[in-house]
Amino acid sequence: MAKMTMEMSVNGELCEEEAPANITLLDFLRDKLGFSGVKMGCNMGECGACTVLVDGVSVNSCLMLAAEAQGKEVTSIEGLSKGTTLHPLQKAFAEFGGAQCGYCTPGMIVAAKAVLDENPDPSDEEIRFALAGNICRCTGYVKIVEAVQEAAAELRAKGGDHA
Amino acid sequence: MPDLNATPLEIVGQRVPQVNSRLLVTGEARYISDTFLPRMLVGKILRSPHAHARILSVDTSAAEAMPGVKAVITGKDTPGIKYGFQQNYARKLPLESEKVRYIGDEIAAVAAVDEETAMRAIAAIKVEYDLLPAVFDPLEAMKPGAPELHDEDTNNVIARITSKNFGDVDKAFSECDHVFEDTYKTPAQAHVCMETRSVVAQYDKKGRLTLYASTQFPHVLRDIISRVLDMPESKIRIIKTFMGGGFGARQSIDPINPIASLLAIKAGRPVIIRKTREEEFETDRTRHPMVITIKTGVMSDGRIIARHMNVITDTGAYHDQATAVTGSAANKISNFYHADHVRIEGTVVTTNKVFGGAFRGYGNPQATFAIESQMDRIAEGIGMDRVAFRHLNANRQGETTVAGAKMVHCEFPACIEQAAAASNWDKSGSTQTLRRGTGMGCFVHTGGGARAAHAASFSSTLIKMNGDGAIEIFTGTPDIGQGSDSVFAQIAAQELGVSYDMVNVITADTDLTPSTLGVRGSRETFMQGNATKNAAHNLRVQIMERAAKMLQTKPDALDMKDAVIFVTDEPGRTITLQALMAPSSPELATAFPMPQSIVATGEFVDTISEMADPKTGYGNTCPTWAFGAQVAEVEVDIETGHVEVLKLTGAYDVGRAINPMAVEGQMEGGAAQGLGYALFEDVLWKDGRVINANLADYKVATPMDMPPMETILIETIDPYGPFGAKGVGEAGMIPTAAAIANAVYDAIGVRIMDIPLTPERVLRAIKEQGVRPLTKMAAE
Repeated sequence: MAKMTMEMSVNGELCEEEAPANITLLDFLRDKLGFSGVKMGCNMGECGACTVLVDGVSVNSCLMLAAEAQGKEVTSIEGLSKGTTLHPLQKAFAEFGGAQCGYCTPGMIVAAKAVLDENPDPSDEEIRFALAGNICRCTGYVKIVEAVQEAAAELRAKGGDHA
Repeated sequence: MPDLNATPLEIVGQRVPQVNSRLLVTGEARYISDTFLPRMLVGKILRSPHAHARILSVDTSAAEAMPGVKAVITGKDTPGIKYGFQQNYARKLPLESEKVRYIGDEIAAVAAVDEETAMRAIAAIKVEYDLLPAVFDPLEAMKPGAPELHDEDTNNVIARITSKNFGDVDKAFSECDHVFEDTYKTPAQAHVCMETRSVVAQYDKKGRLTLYASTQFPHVLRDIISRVLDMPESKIRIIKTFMGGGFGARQSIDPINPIASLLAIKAGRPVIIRKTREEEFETDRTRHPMVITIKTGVMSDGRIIARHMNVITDTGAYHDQATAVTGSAANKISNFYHADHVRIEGTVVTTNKVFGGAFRGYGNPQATFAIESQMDRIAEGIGMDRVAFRHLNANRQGETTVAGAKMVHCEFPACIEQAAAASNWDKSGSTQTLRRGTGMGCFVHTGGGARAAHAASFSSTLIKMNGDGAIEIFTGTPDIGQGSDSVFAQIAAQELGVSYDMVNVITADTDLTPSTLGVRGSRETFMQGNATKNAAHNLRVQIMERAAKMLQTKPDALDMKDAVIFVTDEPGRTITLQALMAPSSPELATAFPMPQSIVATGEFVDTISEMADPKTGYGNTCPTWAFGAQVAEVEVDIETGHVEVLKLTGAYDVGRAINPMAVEGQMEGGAAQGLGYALFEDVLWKDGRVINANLADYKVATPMDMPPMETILIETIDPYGPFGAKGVGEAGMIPTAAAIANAVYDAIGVRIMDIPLTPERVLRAIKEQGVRPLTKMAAE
């Protein structure tokens, strides 16, 4: 496979890395850049474990080629916390039991961030609808919805997400 | 029951986050698939494309000659030792060399520099087969003349639980006012752990093998790997990293573990094997499909007198733990509701399909779907209220069943009452097309770990206090997401008198942690929790002895809170843990010489009740029982057959909840797996090939499928549990299918005897049985 140079901003840092032209964004982030918080669950866009934001839009990174993210801004779970300070969503998932085994959690939190960026005050039903592409096999989703609501309230109180 | 409020605790009973929650929510938690070792190779497995065939030859020469291929192995590279979780039914080889018995059976494996090369090498291996007729249905497989899978078995029956009789069953049936007999069928359910099964194997120049494995029982895995590879246990180290789910799946020894080991040994380099999602569906363990026949004799006043349960288990091509699962299923017929005359039978049959294994509930979701569906049929048949019928017959505190099971601690009646009271039973909101209904499903399950094959069930914990007063717990019981590390930290902190965040938990590394039976049968909190409490107690004794010397008093005059030791009668006389461990002056250090750490151990051996007799089955298969009741409110679209669950309410007898948030999480997550089991989860085969081997065609519950859930924890003190706690990790999923099926019947008057209740199945049943007319009240 021919190689090409991928250039994109990942979690606020400019990355330039040579990789096979057909590499998925998922494999590029994990294998080439070491962002192993991005998880592979099914490799066909059904489970959402690999969710990242590309220019603010939540995508399944297993279905996107890294080449398609050329010149764009990619945010993975690693881009949400600042040092040891957690993003309100991360804090709420931890405190409200939104993560059990944790494997779906990075994708779930990133998908939830996209929800709240668009709709700062969603109903439970809107959260469930927006997260329908993210499967969690552990929690039954009750505590995930609670955590997203808690984070939404905190973000509203802070006047938005400047993360 | 002892009152919880009489003994309030500061740390146990609190809704604390998981000890590793910050790693989970930041993506820092490292799973097997995130394990990158220097010069690590990628392993791939050549699997049988045929359901049943003799292997005539395997030619690996082309694969071996390929650049980048570092090792190729076949059955000839293994010691040829068959294994299984229950060794007396061992049938599986890591790599088959004579015969394959299902599509996916392992034949050869390669390790190469990257995945692409490994896959090309696999494709280059030539295998000649002599195709054999195959059999896929367990009832067909039992008939004389059916294709036979294993030379050791006759008519594919690998094991029988011969008729176990308690009381005078035949006579009792003849004296009952009514006798009901029904047959129920349950599907193969896939665990769908979000991380597919993976392993990294490393073999070092000292001749030691290290496996980073997805495992619920590292010490048992070490034992079985040692047997299969014919290698001393002392040469094997198993390390459990973070795990993307278990649910019983990782309580099986999958061939990828010995295969990766052999590849690493042969290549002299580390090897990772990760199953693809498709491979996981096609080759990993499933919940065993069962055909369950129940006969129940009752009196007109509602008392259950006699019961007979017969379970036929389809174990697939091999036996992992099907016989134990079948026994666990069949036992429920007497542990659940009172009956003085009980007969239990089971048959385990092999077929040419992927094989079954442990899955949350261990046969109980199958049994409970059958038992609880029939409970509703009986109540209707004798004209009794469904809830009252259950309440009347529920086993009660202090009772010993006719099969010898002791109800050590039991809040079953309260569970029925509270789940019923919190639910809506009036069908209001129904329309001509959308019919509403409500149904109950109850359960009994081990509340403290299943006893292992009639041997002592044990746990042990090592605990250490460091120079700065920080506590470290070493336990062989893996946290697989259920939160056991955090439960142990809470228990230890509470027992010692230190804060939760002072406790660090090191789990599941066979080189570091004491031996344990692992995560199975909801045993972590009860068994390992008790061992951890004992270890913390023993450490506290040592701490207090030293503190007593320094404070010039007696140990029993002291207490500790928030890591400060004080004289109970003179709270001003104190010493901190840090000062205890690191005396503040040279004089004190000379007067009280002290090592830099204090170490203690704690054991717990389950001798709580009479062990089950291996011959008669009389006695106890676990130390205590957990109970619960769930109520489902559903809406059935009689035009499409779609079942929508509107609400799930559960009331659970959990003893004392060490962490109520975590217990709720277990119940809610269990119910989500139960809802999928009820409505859509079903591994489908055509001619032995799995035809829905992906998450588009095999559906699991998404956020949109799950209704609001009300979870009621009925907390009282179990006399033997740590701080009164029971183990409840499996419980939540057990009764959901029955509750939903009973609600569907309530809504439309159609009884479906096999799950999942897919729209097709509901429509077919509506066509056969006709929909019950809409009552005036329901339409209001």
